[in-house]
Amino acid sequence: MKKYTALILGTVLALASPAFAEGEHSHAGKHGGKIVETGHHHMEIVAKDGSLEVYLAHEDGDAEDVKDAKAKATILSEGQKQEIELVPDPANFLKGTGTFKAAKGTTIVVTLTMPGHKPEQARIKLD
Amino acid sequence: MFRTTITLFAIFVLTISAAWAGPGHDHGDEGPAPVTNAAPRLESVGSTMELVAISEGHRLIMYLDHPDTSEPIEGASIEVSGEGIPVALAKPVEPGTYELEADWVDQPGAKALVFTITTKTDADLLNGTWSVPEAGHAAPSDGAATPLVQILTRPDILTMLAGALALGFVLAFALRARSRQKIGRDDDDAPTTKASATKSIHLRSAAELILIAALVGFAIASPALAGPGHDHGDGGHDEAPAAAGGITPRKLPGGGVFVPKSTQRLLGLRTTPAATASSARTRELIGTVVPDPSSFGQVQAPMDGQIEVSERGISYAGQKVQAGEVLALLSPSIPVADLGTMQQLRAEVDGKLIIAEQKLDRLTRIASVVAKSQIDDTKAELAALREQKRVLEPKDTQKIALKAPVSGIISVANVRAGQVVTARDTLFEIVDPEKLWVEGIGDAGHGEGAIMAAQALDGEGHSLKLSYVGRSPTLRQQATPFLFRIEDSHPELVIGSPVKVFAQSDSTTQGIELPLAAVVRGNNGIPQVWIKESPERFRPAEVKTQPLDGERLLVLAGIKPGDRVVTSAAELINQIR
Repeated sequence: MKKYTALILGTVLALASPAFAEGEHSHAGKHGGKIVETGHHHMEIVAKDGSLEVYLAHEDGDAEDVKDAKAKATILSEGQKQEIELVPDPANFLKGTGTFKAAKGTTIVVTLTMPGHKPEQARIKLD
Repeated sequence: MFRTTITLFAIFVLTISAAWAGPGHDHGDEGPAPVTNAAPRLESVGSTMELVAISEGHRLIMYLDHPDTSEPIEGASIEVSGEGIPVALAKPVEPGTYELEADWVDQPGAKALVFTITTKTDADLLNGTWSVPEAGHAAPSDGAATPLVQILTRPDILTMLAGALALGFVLAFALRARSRQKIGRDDDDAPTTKASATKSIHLRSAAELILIAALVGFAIASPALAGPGHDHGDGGHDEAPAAAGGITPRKLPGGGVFVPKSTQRLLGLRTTPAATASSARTRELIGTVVPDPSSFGQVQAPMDGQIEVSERGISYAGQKVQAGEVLALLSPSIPVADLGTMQQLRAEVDGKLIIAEQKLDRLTRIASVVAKSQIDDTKAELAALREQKRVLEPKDTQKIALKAPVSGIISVANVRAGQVVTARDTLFEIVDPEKLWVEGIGDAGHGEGAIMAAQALDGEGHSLKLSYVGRSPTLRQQATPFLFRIEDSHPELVIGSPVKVFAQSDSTTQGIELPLAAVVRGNNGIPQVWIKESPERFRPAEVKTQPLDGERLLVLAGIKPGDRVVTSAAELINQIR
């Protein structure tokens, strides 16, 4: 019976420990962009003149598969608004191109819909 | 042995429960306590704009304000777009309030909205998710209500369930193995009791398994629902909180208040970001309005007498007079003894006059025989006596004019026609209302520095600019009088009215300047300010203050620079229960 007791103890400890380890998310963008938490995901938005890349990660930091994601970005740059579609890239990120400038004050709102989920939004202002 | 196992297991289960219920297990939404709203609500804050959207049937009502000052932003164009939503432009209905009529506004489901806002000087993108609850359900507001499905799909709960399953399996396996072993042993001893023994052991095992299952179930159920922010139960089924509505201002559990934008507009709520400033050290004195000594005049009776009406009547309080103007006439009264002496003198002069006249008459008739000098002497004597008689004529008709010593307005008039007054009676007081001073009473503190500037606040709340005149070196009733000249007097100010004097010295203090109206008294009597946390949430902050002048004060502690402090309607927010 001793070995079962040990087994039970092990199971309980294994059960108890990992659940408490969450928190402490890293906010440094791996791709040089800004990270926004959207509730379920961490969205890293990399804006350059004319192109926008969005990297998606789970709360625990693992990259999320974006091949079925639907995403759109609304960009307000120097008083001009434009909407661009973001399409999944084979390298597992979402990408879109437009004619905007990634200048200071440019505001970007990314609306993302993962299959079977409610839409999520992230808003950044470049500085 | 089974019992030991069960006991051990129960202890483990309780340990897990305790661990799970610890702090930090808040999987509800981050941020302040949730507000249960019947109607969907959306908040989005940019650097120069904040937007709150609510719905009324088909209409989406948007309030657009400046985040720092809470001033409504007028004349903006708001374009609402989103997935599956036609792009539409909101129309302004009131200053800072915009409206959009669309079918999707009250259709159930979550929609991600993007607001493109353009004003004359600025443009911004704001966003938010518009969640309309399914019909028959209350609003899924800010994680206040968590449906069971949502609880079960949470990763922590899933881990727990999987663990419990594994544990159950292990236990079941262990117990089953043991019972088979025991049955085997029973087989050898007494084959006749085999069936009944097997049955009883199975029953025992089953009972223990049920007990374990119940404990596991309890362990999962209790901590998962114990975390803050999980108000299980009144989410999907209870109608009462939904009926409370999201458009009434109310107190939040943390002590803050929820003030919907519509109410903020009604109250004219404004905020200002706190900024540290260096201000002169100020102290408050109790003051009284006094007349300027050089333009304050008194008219006193120079001698006993009776008041008589002057040509322009008797002057009255409130009359405007010029210096030298006759205010009243005084006819002096002569004592009875003096009167007797005068009558005696008069009779004597009269007698001498007759003698002198007769003497002159005689001498004139014999002018040829008398010396010319004799006639001249008599003439001179006669003239002197006539002058004496004239001086001794009754003085009843002679009156003294009482004149205004300074220009101004008569403030006191203790005079009636025919009134008999004695010498030194104060008959009139004249002040110049343009030239008033304030006498402040304060303790002559050491090291407070010289008074550089001062303001006064009168009973009606008017602020008066003062300039420091001087300080009496003598204590009066254990206090030092400070004198100030009022630089910008106003007609309603009256002498003797109490004022508050704020005297600023040349030393300075660091603090946050706020208008007087921003600081209100909390329930416990400690001064507090209200700080805007989000577009519709405000929290109180206790502060330490110091007077500054009649309109502002200095907050020394309690708030940080950058906190958005409610500067108008703070008193009304303070009343929200």
